[in-house]
Amino acid sequence: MDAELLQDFIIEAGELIDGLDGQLVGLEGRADDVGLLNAVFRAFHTVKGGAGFLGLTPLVEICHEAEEVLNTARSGLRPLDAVVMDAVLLAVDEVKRMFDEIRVGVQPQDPDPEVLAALRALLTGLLPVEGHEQPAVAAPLPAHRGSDVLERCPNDTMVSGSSMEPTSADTISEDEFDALLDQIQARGTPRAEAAEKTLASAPESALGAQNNIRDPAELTLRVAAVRIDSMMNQVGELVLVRNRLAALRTRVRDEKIQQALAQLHLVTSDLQNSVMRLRMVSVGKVFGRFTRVVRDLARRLGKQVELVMEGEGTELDKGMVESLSDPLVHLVRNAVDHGIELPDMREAAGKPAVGRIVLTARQEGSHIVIIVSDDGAGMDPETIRRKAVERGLVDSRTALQMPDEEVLQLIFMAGFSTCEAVSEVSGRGVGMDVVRTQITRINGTVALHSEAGRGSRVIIRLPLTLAILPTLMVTVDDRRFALPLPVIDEVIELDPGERTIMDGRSVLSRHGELLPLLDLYRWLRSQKPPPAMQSVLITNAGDRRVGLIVDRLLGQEEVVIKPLGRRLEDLPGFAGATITGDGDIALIIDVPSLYANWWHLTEGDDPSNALPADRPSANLESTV
Amino acid sequence: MRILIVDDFSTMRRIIKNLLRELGFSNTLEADDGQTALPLLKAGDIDLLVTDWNMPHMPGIELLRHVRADPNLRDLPVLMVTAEASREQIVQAAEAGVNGYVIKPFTAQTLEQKIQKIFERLALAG
Repeated sequence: MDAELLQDFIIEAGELIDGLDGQLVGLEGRADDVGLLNAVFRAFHTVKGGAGFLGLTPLVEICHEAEEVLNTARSGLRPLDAVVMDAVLLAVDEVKRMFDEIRVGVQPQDPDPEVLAALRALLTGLLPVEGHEQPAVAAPLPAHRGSDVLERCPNDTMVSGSSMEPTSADTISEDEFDALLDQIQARGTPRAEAAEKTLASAPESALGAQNNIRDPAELTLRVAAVRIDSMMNQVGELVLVRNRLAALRTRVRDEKIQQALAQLHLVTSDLQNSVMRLRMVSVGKVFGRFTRVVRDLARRLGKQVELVMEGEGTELDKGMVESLSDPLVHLVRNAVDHGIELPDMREAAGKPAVGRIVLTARQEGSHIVIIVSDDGAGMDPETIRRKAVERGLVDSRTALQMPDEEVLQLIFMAGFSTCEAVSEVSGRGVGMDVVRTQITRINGTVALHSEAGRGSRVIIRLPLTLAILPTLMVTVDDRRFALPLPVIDEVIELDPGERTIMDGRSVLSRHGELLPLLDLYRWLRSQKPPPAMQSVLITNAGDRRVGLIVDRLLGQEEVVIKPLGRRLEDLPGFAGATITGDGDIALIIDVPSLYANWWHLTEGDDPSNALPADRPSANLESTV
Repeated sequence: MRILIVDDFSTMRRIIKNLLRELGFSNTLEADDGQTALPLLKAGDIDLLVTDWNMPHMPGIELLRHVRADPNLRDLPVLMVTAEASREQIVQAAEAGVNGYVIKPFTAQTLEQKIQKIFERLALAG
C-alpha cells in the first residue's frame, strides 16, 4: 500500500491508541460504562481493520485478541476485573511498541507470546471453538490455535456469543447468503412500489437540496505536522523581513509606502496568528497518558491514588505539548512516589486513604499555566536547607537567611534529590533540575509551593507558542539583548538610592520589597562605566522577582528564536539568539537561568568563575 | 456511478476509495457515520452505498434500516463492510435489506465481484 496511506493510518490510528490508556483506566473505575467499553472495543476493532489492509499482520493479531477479550466483557460473559484490565493494558503496550516500529519504517515484530497467552487464557472456555474466528489477515495463523482452546477445556460447555454484533459466531458462505437473499426477495418485503419512487424523488432533487450539503469529509483536513512546521518557519522569516522593513521605514517619506508597510504589518500578524493556531493541540493529549502512569506506579508502591484532571481542553503549541511530556511525567511520578503516603500513614495523619493528584491546565492571558498538585506529605524546608548545604549548593549562612519559599526552589538545582535512598522510581539525582531545564527550554518557568503534611504544588507557566517570542529589546554596554516580554513585570528608572549591597550582593529595596539585582555590566565584564541613567526590568523568574539593570530600552519586537547551536546550548543565561529588524544579532536573555547561576556570587567574586569571560558575545555570531 | 463511502475511520474511507478508483469508480463521496450519511443520501444522486458496520452514533445496520424505510432510497444498492462473516450478523443485515457484504481486508478484485453481483441480481429482479 502506498506510503501516504500508511502515514494517515499512523496518525489516525495513533490517536485512537493514545486514548486507550486513559479510557481503560477510566473503565477500571466505571466498569458499567457501556459507552466507554464500546469505544475501547471499537478502537481495537478499527485499528485491526486498517492494519489488515496494510498487511500489518502482528498488529491485526494482537488487536484481535484484545477485541475478543473485551467482547467477553461486552456480552457479560466475564466481568471487567483487574485481570482483564491488566491483560488488555499489556496488549495496548504491544500495540504501541508495534506503532513505534511502524513509525520508523520497519515491519512490526510478532506480539509477545506471553501477552497473547495472557489474553487467550481469558478466553478459555468462554468462546465457541468453531467461532473463535481467525483474524482477518491473509497470512496463515498457527494451526494449533483452535485445538489449543479445546484441549485446555475439554469438558466445558461452549457458550455462544451474545446477540451483540461482531461477537464470533459461526460464519456464512457466499452461497448461503445468495440463498438467503433469494428467500427474502421471494417474500417481497424490501422492494415494492417502484413507480411511487420516481414521483416522490423528482421535486426534491430538483429543488437543489444538495447545495446545502457539504461532503463532511471536507470539513476537517489532516495535514502532516512537518508541513505546518515548515509553514511556521516561513512565517517566521516573513516576520523578520517585516521587522526589517519596519526598521527601514523611517528612511522613506512616501506616505503610500508607509500605508502599505502598516498594512503588511497587520496582515503578517494575522497570518502568524492563524498559522500558530494550526499548531495548537489540547493539553489533554499529554494528560491522557498519566492515568496509566499513576495507576501502574501506585499499584507497584502499594499506594492508592486518584488522579483528577482539569482543563484538558486548554490548547497549547504542538511542540510545547511534546516538550512538556517528559517533565510532567517526572512531576507526576514524583507526586506518587514522594508525595502521596502509604494508605495507613495517610489514615494515621487523619487524611483519606486515597491520595489525590490534581493536574490543572488553564490559559491566563498569553500564558498557559499547568499545575501538578498533590495532597501528600509535602516538603520540609528544614530538610531541604540541610540537604542543600550538605551538597554544597549553598553555604550554610545563605541557607539560613533564605525564606522558606525560596529554599523550596533549591530542589530545582542540579545535584539535588530529597529522597534519602535514591528510589528506583523517580529519584536518580537528576530530578527537578532536569524538569526545570526542560521547561526553561520552552521559555517557561517553574515554581514549587509545599507545606509539610499538606502536600505540594508545582506551577508551570508557559508562553502560548514557541516559535515567535514577543520581547523587549534593550542595550547594555552598546550590546543588544532581547528579554522575553512575558517574564517582565515592570520597568522602572534605577534610583541609586534604592540600590544597596546586602551580604555582598546587589539588592533593590523598593516599597519594602527586597529584590536581587543583576548588573549586566559585571556579567559582561565591561570596562566602561555605565551611563548615569539606567533602567531596571523587574522580572518574574520562576516565582522569584529579580531586577535586571539595563542601559536603554529600544522597544518591543517579536523575534524568531534561533537556537545557539550545540556547543553553546548549555550556556547559562541565554535562551537563544535572534536577528533584529536591522539585521543585527541579539542574544535572548533567560532570566531564571541567569539568576540561578549568577546571583549567588557576591560582589567580590569574579563572575568568570560562573561564566567564561567574554563568552556571551564573542563567538556567537558564527553559530547563529 | 456515484458511490457514497461511510466509515468513521478516515484511513479506511481512503482505502476503499482507492480500491474503487482502481476499478474505475472515481465518483465517490464520503461520510463518517450514519448520521452524516443520511442527508447526503437524501439529497439523491447516489447509486451505491458502501458502509461499515461498526461505527459510533449510527452503526451501519441502523443506517441500512433508515435507508430502507425511506421511500426514495429503499431500492438503493447497499454493500456492507464487516470484519467477519458472522452468520448472525449477515442474516440480520440481509433481513434489513442489504444487497451484499464484503469482509475486511479485501482486494479490488473481491470488491469488484461483490459490486458486479449486486447489480446482476438487481438486473435479474428487474
